[in-house]
Amino acid sequence: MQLFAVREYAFSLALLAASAIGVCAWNTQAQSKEKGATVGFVAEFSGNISLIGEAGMQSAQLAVDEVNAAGGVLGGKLELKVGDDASDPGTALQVWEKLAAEKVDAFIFRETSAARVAVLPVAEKANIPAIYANAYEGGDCRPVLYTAGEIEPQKVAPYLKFLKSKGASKIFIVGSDINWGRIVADMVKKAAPELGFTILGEEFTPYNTTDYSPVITKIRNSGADVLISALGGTPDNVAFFKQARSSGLMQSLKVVGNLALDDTTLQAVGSAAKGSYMVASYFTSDSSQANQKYLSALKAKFGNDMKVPGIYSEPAYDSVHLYALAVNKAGTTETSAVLKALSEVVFEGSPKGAIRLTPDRHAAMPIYIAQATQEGTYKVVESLGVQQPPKQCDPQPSFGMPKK
Amino acid sequence: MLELALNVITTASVFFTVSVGLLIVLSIMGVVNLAHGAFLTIGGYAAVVVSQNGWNPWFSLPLAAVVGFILGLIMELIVARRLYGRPLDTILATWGLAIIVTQILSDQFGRSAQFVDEIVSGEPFQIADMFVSPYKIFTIGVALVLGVGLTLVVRYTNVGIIARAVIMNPALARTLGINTNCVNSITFALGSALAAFAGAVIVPMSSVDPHMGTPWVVTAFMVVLAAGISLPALLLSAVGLAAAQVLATYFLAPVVGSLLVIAFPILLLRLFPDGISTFLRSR
Repeated sequence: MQLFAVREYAFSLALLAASAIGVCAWNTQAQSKEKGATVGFVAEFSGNISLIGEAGMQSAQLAVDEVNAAGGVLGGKLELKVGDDASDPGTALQVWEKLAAEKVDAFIFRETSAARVAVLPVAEKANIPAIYANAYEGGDCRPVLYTAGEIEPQKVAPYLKFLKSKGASKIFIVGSDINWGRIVADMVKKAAPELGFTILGEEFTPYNTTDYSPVITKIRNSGADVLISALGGTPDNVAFFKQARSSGLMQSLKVVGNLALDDTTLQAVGSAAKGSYMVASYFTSDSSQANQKYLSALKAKFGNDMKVPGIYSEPAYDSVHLYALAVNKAGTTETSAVLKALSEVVFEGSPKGAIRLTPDRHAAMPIYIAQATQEGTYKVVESLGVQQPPKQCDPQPSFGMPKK
Repeated sequence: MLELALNVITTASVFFTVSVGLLIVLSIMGVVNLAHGAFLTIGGYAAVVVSQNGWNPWFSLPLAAVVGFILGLIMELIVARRLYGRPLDTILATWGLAIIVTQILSDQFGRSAQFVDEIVSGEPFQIADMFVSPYKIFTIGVALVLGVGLTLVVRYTNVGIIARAVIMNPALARTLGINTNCVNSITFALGSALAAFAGAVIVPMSSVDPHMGTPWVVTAFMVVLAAGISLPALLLSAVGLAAAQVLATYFLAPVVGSLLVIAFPILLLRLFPDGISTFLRSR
């Protein structure tokens, strides 16, 4: 027995020594990070948003390849540490805490608004720059945050005006029951009366609703001729549109205006959403040279596994490039320098045209309206030109967390 | 109003189809099969395989049932068989099985959602001012065939007599020469086949992902819990819960609808501890 005790003691000592060496090694690694940078990339690879998450991941990986092929950052490589938030704000928080503990230099994330609200305190606490590679409702002005996608205030009013021109005026709003869905529904309700719309009803469904028949009946019985859909997530859109078509709702509505049915999701929905409209800064069918280059690079890298990119995944591409530009301009990965540089760089190669983030933490971009075809793709029917985001942050957020 | 009634009937049909396999396993074997949701998911993936290969979508129904039957049989022989008479252990074991199946499916098909071809597509037809979707008719038809078919089997065939004998008194049935082991194997496999079949029926109008079974096993469990052991009671329970969900979604909010499916059986059990079946039997 005595022998065992000694052995155990020796074993614990060895373990302790090993962990000490490990910590030292880890420390030197942390210090030697003068070259290159590590970005925590968080998106949904499981759960109901996973299709868009995977598309975002592909865009981010493509951008990392391009950055590294062009010389990388700070003379070293740009690396991604990937996290799966499982389409769930709770899981997202754990993933962020893990990545923050691993001391990533920045976060680039493509997650729902519900997850964004949950995770950003982690970046704030650790004072790590975060770029939101997504479109969202606007108004998030944390000192560590930039948003590379568009925000609804850039497009809701002109979009409603366009829908009004299609000769219908009685609106029903259906949306996903998360903060984004409700905030955007409120924007619609606020902008609609001035344009001559009346709002007949609204309904919010939880994610992963499989039976939409009561909601469909309610929409029809309301007598609405315009449906504004703020449903997020692929399964919900697929379920809603398939059921809406097969129960005749699509035929009895004059106009269907989507707010969250991007190219990626539309492909899964297929012909069921035919004729409905969508407003976005990016559509896959954009014929610009920059977009064609982006699409063919994705195709070359991922082949048949390529996911069709849309407004919710393309910003990942811009975000990675913008971050690389900012780090190279700042000459360091230090938080406040990078955040300041982010408001000074321009990414010329974006499929949308040049992207420039402002100290107001958002970006101007061209907005288009497109119509869904029989094949499950969008065809652009109107260009609204470059839309400036209304002022979001007042007072202007600082670059990084204020020192205590 | 007519359309609301149709919605209730459709949702009730789906509830019935999804829970009938669970009821059969519970009634004959006394086992709460929490792997029911996993078999439902397997049925969904059978439909995915059919879609990916471009086969006729109708083929997903028999394929799902056959795959469910075979896998159910294997699981009964390997796992469930060793746990009879230990209800709590079977709940744990079948739940574990469900987790394993979910992980294998994630590994094979990826974790993201997939979509399958519609079995019944086509334009809705109009009756008065009500639009009727062909898919709704299809789900109602499926539930009717299952309900009537199973009732006939239980009432009028030798298999039904054996099943009823085992339900009433397993020990006595064994002394009469009924091979209860064999009955159990087939019952478990049949329950699994029904679950997988239900999976293939419901996915064309929604989507398939490795975790799709979890909310459905909760729904099926609630429907069976409220019903107790009896097919007519299961029908009543499915209609009741479907009405609660559909009407609450329509008149109140979708969240209230999903909530009622869970709250309703709990209230009911407070009044009738053995479910609707005791209420039916007392008449």
